[in-house]
Amino acid sequence: MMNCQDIEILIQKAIDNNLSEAGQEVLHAHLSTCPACAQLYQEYVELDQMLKTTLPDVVVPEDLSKTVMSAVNDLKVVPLKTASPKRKTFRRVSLVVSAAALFLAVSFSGLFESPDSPDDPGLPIAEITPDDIDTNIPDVNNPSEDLDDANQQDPEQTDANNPQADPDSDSDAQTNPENNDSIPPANNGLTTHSDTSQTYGGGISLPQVAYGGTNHGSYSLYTLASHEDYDAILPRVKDNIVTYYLNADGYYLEWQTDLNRGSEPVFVGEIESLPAENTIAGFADRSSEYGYNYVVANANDGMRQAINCGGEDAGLWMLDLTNANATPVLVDSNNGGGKIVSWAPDSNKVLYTSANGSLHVYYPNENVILDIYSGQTSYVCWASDSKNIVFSAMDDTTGHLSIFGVIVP
Amino acid sequence: MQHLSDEQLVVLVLQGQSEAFAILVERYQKQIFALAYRLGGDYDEARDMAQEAFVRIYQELSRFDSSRRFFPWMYRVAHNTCVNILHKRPKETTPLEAVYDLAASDTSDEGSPVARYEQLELGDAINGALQSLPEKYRFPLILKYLEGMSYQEIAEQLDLPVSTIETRLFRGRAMLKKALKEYQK
Repeated sequence: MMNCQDIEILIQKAIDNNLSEAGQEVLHAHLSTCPACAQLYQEYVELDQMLKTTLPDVVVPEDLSKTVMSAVNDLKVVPLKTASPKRKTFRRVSLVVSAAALFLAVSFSGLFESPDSPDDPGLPIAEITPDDIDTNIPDVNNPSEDLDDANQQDPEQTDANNPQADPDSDSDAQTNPENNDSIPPANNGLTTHSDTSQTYGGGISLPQVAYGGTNHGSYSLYTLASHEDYDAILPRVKDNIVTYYLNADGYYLEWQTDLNRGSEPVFVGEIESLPAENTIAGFADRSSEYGYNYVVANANDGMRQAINCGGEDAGLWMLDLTNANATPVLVDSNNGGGKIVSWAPDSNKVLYTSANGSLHVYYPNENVILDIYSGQTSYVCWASDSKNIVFSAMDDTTGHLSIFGVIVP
Repeated sequence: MQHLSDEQLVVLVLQGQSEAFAILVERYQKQIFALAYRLGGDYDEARDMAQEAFVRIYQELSRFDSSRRFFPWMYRVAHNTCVNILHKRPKETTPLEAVYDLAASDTSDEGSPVARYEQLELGDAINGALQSLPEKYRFPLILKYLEGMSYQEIAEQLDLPVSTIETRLFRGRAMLKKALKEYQK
């Protein structure tokens, strides 16, 4: 016997003409006995009609492709990777870092606590135990988990407008800050700043920088720098100072900010070329040996090697370096396969990316996986405390790389 | 060159063959123009926005990860370009002349000025509701209702499993239903 939540799915499938005959029989049998669902069905039919009639087909201007190619051919900048960056006149830019929009805060305070912890918001990661690590890893792209999780939560949480009902809600918080109404008021000592006092090039105002934070227990994710026009890249952390670069049309503007967000960011200066990428301790790229993505990193304590590889054996593997006869063990087949793997300085967790660039942390001692970020990650670095991670990743709100920080347990 | 995949064409563009980009423009001008039109609501402005979006895509092409599908990346860049343009322009309301034009253009009951204006208002409301959705829910809905794509086609375009598309469409539509409740009978 299907419940009304299941029926809502059947209703939508029926509207999309994507419901089997058997499904239609179940649906109509239910609708004939449930006035509420019959009403819901009617509302969905009306919505579908509304969308179809109000979103008419558009006729593309005949000359669009010609004008586009004319504009492209007029460009002096070509998209060649080898092209020298054209030095342009610096123009006023504005860093857009709304505290609400920037927070990709997800509370995972129950990560290593009992799932029944009163502070546990019920997000699926909190339900992970070492025993079910292979089956309960939240998969941001797995809809069946989406629905299953939603169905297991209370009616309020399954409300489609409530992002907390969605295991993906970290990305929702980014793209739709208004939905992020579960974030508590900023009464946690973290503040929002803005500073227009600094100047660049003899009087041109620097990008306004605003940043802020909120605390969601043992896990919080926040944005350190974001720009609506340019990439913020190559973050490095030393002594709680995050250095990063704004790639402003061939200019590289170096900035530093406090990892703990206790003071204003500082503009360091313009540089002609970027420094070399961070060297990840123990990291080696052996892709050319294997013919597919194959990156490894040894933990600082020399006990383990993490292997992040693509190919047929895609995933994150762990190798016990203390046993000469040991063979690698697959620990995450869902998320590995990316080009990044980096151990925390304390050797108790490893950061890695999936093939699509999403970022994850694996805790080998607890056999727990934490999903950090669903966008495409480019650079990562650990702070010396092995808790703060700073990374540069594609920001859906800007379409550019932003600098994110995350504090993990 | 027409038979090449998007990703193969991108490689050619990066090698300096701009005619490969012309094929990509031909291939996706409808989707990008429709996106611009849906976001901005003005035909002429949509032309400019689509053009700027393609220029931006061209400029950003070296950042494209060739191991991934081109369409979702392109669509996202176009979307962000359009949204940036719209954010920079002053908020506009429907000009009075547009209402007069509507009155003059249609005299049937269904097309009465009041009905047509209500239709415009409804369009604005739907646009607003769509914009309020997270991107992952908005894109599948736009592709379904603007492009008339099937689940399978949307999944291919966004490089996601069909089941994920289903879920996102369902959730997105549920959100829209709630947001547009007052406009339903």
